[in-house]
Amino acid sequence: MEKLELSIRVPLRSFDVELALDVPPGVLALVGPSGAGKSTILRAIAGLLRPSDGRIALGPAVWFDRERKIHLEPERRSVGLVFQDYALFPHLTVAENVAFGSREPVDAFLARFKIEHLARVRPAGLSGGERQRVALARALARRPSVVLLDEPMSALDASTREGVRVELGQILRSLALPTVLVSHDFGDAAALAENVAVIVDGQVVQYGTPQELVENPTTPFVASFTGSNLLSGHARIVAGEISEVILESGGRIRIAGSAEGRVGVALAPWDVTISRDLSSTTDANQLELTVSSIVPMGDRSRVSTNVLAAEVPTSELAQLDLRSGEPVVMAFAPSAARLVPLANSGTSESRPRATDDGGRDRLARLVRPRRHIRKE
Amino acid sequence: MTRRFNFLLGSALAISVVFLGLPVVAIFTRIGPGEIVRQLGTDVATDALLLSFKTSGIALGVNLLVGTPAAYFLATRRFPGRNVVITILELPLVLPPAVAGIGLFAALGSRGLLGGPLDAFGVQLAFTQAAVVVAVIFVASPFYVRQAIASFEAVDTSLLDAARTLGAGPARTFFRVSIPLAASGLAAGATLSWARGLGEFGATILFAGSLQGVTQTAPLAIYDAFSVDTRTAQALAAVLILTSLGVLLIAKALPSWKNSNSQSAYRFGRSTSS
Repeated sequence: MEKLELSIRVPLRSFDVELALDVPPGVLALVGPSGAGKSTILRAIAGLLRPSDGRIALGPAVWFDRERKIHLEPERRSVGLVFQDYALFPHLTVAENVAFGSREPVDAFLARFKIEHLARVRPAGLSGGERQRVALARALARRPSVVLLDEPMSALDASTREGVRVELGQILRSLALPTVLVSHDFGDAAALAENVAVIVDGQVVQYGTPQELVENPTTPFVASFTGSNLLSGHARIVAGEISEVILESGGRIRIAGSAEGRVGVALAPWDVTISRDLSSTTDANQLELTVSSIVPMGDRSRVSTNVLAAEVPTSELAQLDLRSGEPVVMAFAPSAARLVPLANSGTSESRPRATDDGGRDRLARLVRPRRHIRKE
Repeated sequence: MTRRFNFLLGSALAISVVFLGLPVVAIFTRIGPGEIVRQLGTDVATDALLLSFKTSGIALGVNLLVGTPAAYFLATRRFPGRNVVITILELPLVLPPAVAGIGLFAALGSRGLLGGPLDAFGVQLAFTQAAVVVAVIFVASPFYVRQAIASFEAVDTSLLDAARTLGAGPARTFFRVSIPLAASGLAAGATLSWARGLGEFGATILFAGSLQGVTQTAPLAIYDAFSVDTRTAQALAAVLILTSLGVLLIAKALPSWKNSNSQSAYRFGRSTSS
């Protein structure tokens, strides 16, 4: 199996997309806020835009090499690209769409993607999930060596999303091709990809397995993106491997690790427990807060305050009989918190706030647009 | 107050309809169907009509053949001077036809800019049937090209990108995606352009003259006949009215091309499956 090697620079309006990535067979997710340059990377791989510098190669086949002046047209690269809005040809039937790029009869593909019964339907008559299957079948019927997916879930409504995600995951795993998936949703990325590259302003800010990103976010952005709480404050070492952080939002906590000065503290919401009263018999950090919202998510519920969010079993929440606006005590073990270096100390962007808006808002606050610097 | 305002609007509309419709109706009150058929039997009338359909048909063919790729180029690419190019292509829309005729004469007449070189090859355009075609192409092309640019621009670019990543080169993408999706818009443009060509008068009479059976198209024959025999003029006029009306109805019946993106409903006449 060939490996996709990528090192490119593409100037955009306010920053350069500049990154080097190796994609072995398997799924790599590019995640990050909207406008971070994720789709640009896919377009560059597909040959729909020409980077200003760099190289793109699939094993021995060079698709782009600025120095050797190589730029293969999209039709000569072996990619299967699934577009964000699927880009199905509206004037062709499902079967004709799938056959467009295929050199073989497509019956087998229609069967494999369970769209046989739709063969003669035009895209206008399809549901979102069906469109996605047709788009995927069309891209794969070309028998590509690289699969590219641009936000494959974003055009779906919440009710079909979960099922489609499972289906898509199975298909991608069975292909075992270098696959690059773009998503602004960490949940999709974690479910579908073996590795995740977090892209902010055209650069990879962290690379790792979904698990690694959750456990060890290296930037405040990654911490928020993976769903962690992010607190900030001033740290000082109190003993050996224990530091005390005076939070900017008020209160003080103890964390494992030694740190001095202004720091960020990332904390997974499922490591936070809630109660009505302070406990005197615990080593855990306790913060007295006010509930701002309670969102049930099946057997777990998310309880948010303006500082922290906690994910707790719904049954436990029912026992507490907690309501919005009421006081709550949130607790967590010092070992559950992780230190995160703050890039822009003293700025307000990294002020901690727990929300349940799925992260998008937090991205906007945390990611400071960097000035465009020409690197030549 | 509302009532009075509605009355004002309604009056303006009534005046417009009567003013624009009356001349058309008037022609048919002056000449009955029998008389139309009788007058069309004359040599002058048949020659003129045949010539009109022939020249405007050839002109349409040339406009489609050259205008379609030119419009596609303009619709899919951005380059410095693009607006200047489009303005040049649209110029005949606002140019008085007589000016167009003088321009064509200055360019392609025997003493014109390209007249000398053409002469050397034994080609003399002015006052030939080819000159009629050239004049019609000149005045009618912007009607098609403008519409074609708009129709191609309305095609979702991600569909063109999709075709490319599916292995289709630029030419295959053009024929299999752009043309079918722009088809109804292209047809509407072609219809209007042809109708404009059929009625062409000023540029033709200056550049091609008005020789019966050679360069005298229906509008020119109407002008000629008007001073001699108003009956023939009216009969020809009636035929042109009916033709124009038919063309307008066809153009209106063509489906809208607005819906040529991947999300919206799309109705396409040809059913390729079965």
